[in-house]
Amino acid sequence: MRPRRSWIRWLPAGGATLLALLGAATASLPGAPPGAPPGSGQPEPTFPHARHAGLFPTCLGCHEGIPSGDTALFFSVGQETCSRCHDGVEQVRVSLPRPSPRASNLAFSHPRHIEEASRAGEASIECQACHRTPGSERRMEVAGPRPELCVGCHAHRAPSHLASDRCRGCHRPLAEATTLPAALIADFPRPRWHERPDFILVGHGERASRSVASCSVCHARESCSRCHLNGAALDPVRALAPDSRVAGLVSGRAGEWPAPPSHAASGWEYLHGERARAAIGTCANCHAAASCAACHGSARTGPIAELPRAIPGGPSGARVRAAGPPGHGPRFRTGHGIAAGARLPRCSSCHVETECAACHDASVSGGGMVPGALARPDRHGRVAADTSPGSAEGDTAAGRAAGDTVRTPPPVSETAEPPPAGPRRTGDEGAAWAEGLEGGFHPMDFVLRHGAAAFGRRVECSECHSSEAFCRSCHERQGRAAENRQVTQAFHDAEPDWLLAHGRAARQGLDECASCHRQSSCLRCHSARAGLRIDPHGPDFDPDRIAGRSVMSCGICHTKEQVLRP
Amino acid sequence: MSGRAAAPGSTLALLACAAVLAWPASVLRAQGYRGQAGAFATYLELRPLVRDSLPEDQVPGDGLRRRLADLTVVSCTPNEYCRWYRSGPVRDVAVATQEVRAVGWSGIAGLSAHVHLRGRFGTDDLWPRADQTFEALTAYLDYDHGDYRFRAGRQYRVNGLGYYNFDGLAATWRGFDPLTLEAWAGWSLGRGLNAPRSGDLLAAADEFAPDDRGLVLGLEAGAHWGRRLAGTVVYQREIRTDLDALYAERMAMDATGIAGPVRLDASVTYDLSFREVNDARLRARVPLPAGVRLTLEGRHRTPFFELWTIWGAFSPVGFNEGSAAVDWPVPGTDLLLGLGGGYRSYERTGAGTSFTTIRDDGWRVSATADWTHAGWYAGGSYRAEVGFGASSLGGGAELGRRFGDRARLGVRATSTQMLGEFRFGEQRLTGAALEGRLKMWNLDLTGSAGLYHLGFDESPGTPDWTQLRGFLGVSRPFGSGPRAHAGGGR
Repeated sequence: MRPRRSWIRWLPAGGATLLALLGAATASLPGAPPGAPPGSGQPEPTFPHARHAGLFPTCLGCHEGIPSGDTALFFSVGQETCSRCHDGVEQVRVSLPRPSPRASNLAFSHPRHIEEASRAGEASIECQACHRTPGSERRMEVAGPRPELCVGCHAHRAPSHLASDRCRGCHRPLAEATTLPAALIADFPRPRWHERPDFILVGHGERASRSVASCSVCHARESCSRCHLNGAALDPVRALAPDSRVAGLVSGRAGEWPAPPSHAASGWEYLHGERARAAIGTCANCHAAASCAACHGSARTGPIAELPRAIPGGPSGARVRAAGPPGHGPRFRTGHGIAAGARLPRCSSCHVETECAACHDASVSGGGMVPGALARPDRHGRVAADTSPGSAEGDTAAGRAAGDTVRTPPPVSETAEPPPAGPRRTGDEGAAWAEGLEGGFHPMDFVLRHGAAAFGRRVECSECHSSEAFCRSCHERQGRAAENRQVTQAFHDAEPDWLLAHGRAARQGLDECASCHRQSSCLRCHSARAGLRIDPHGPDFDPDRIAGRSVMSCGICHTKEQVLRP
Repeated sequence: MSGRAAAPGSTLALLACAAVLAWPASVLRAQGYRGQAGAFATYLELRPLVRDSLPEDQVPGDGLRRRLADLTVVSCTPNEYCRWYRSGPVRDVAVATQEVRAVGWSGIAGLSAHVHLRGRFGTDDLWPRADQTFEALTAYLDYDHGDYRFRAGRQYRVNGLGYYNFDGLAATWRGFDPLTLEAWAGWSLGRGLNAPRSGDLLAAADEFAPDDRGLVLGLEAGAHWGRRLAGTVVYQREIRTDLDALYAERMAMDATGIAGPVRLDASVTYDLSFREVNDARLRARVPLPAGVRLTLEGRHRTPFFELWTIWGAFSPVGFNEGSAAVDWPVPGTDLLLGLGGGYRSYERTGAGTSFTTIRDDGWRVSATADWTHAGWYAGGSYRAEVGFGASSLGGGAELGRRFGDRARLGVRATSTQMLGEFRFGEQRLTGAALEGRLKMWNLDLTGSAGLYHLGFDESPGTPDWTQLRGFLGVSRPFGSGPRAHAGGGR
């Protein structure tokens, strides 16, 4: 006798495995309702209905509890029934424990459907009307019910499962579906509208307000509190029941707080306070009081005080990343003049005027302290305490005005991690100002290369420097300025005919000339009383107007004698 | 308050600084005042230019511009001398300043005192004003109550005309919410001087410096509409105390507004004496997709000169400039990129010869990249500025690390090519600096030290050399809540 080929011995096991895989794959088909088998733990062996099609005349023989809704009798046969045939003689023995009703959150009722059909005049509903395997006409080729069959008949007639938010028509709230394991909940299919870009910012709130009952099919209160620190104040969140399974699933997952488009608009740093005062509840959807600390410190006044506080281990709320103090954008150093002049925002909200001197009073180099160190007291003389993460003196008490009691220092920021520092700037926009290095506005090497910047006048040197007492004084000391009244073209040696050409340069950059040349230098040629008597006035010069306002300046060229001395 | 003969005041200021720095913080932690005191020192090496000459007949060649045997370019005056500039010896400069800045509340609601004092000295006279020993930047009383605010003393004004201080009174009324009115009057001070125009500082710098103090009178009206639109109009007149002549008469208008996502800024400063717009700007900041921010600006600028000088009578011309800048915080990263540039064109001067090579325009570009992550920071920049009188092209880079909020250490390198002041030859600046900051024992220590190499092309009289620069500063807060930065001001 030929020995049996060894692989044949593995056929039954291979077939069983294949069947099991097929079963699992079938159960995982898209469109399976929430609560369908995938991931529901150990796969149970399923009864091969189709192979027994000729044996059982009616489904109710094995599922006699269906018409009555008695779940204990949904599977009214067991191993003993199988053993009548699969006794090891006539048929191989099988082991098929009595299945239990599947964990589900379906609100489906067989008796009610039977009753409805009867009321509608239908004799009965064939089981295969719902349980037929798609594409098959053979009896007992059955599968689990497909959601499409439900939504095809029911009132909303949605084009597909998950296309409607009327979930409660077929499903129970998650909190009531206590038999569903957490793993199954984690695998709930995700409706397509959840994928829309604005779902978090706009969509989910609107839907929750409109029909939180539908949300409750998949979500519990913990689903919302993962991001919403203000969940206790939101009706839809309160309407959801807490659920320990969901709590476990969201534990450790960071909240999601995408920035709304409004936050990217110009001037948001100025406008957000107005919005906050008008509707702080909206801010509270994402922000905790600590969110404001990046710019406002930990002083919780006004609308900030109404924001929720983060609790340890809970969501932090959206973090605010400040590129500097509010309104102090990347090009603040050279561009803040207009806003300061227009008083928007009020610099005095955070600064005292003397702090401007840290940069603006550049009467000497090497000095100056970092701005922002002194707070302006409010109209009652109070000063906000600084317990901001960036403060070296985070435990300082608040200021006290006359007659005021000492204010209780506000609690420190709940978030252990300080807000991330914003990007820094280099070069002329660099960190020297912010860090106080060299105590001033310019980088360390600026004085060595400041010539081009002075001619370009991107910022006015005279905002901070005296042209005479600082610029010219230094240039004279460095041998770069014309001393006394000596005028030669030795310095400007790149222009061979400098004396003939200098008029154009002078009119284009007279303030640069004045940073080296004294007035007397020019009077050697441009006085009306001596020298070459070259008229320096341009065609639009109005002598009468100037004489009416400062006849003394006219006198420098037109009357004073000392300038004529060699 | 200013001048060279303020030695007693200087001594007091120095003693005050020393006392504050040495005073136990616990004693000063009273609730009635807060302030900051510091001392800062800068060291640098300088190499002044010195003028040299030879009799004209000893220099070969002819013409106004010739070369010496070592190819030094000299400028000659017929029958006189040929002159040129060469490097002098290297000199050391050290400048030290001490500052005290404080705010105190009096016990009367709304009444406070503000003071900012500065004392300084230097090792020699190479650095301007190193020898001035004491000055008061501000020293005023402030009464801020209800709809009014009054100030008396040396105080600063910050408005569309700029930043300047004066000795006198200022009053503010804000009783009608959208509107704020301010007026001030007193003795004016020279800008950037903290001293009267008639003082020693200007007298030493110019033979025609004013011999009389100035009086200042100013008015400002401001209004705002929510936080979307605000503007101010400022008028200021500065006149000699003998009323014989004006020093300046100017106006300024500033407005800023937010229209949808766009922020618009506009400003004009106008010189009533010369009927000249000194500075006019219109700027728009537009957010673009992906977090990009675009800034566009148009500007007209004509220099302003006070009437005690003759410069305004020389009919300076202005320039018109257009510029743009883009800032892009790269999403998902800690990288911030910036790009900017501008072009300016000068008005016709009606002066100089037609064959001059002096250009009548200028341009600039810059590119920056900044990155921070987990305490590290790095950045790089490139900038080019080409103008009619001076140009520079170069860039820099920095790398450093922050150690929490209490320490920082970094290095910075730079390299720049320069052409300047219509001078022959090109300069090259390369260098690097180490910089750091440390906060300990309630002290804030900052310091930096750098070596910079200056190279010169086609300038035999100015050899290459390397200079050392350093800065060291220490400051400490005192009083209550000394580091408060988010005030509850109105």
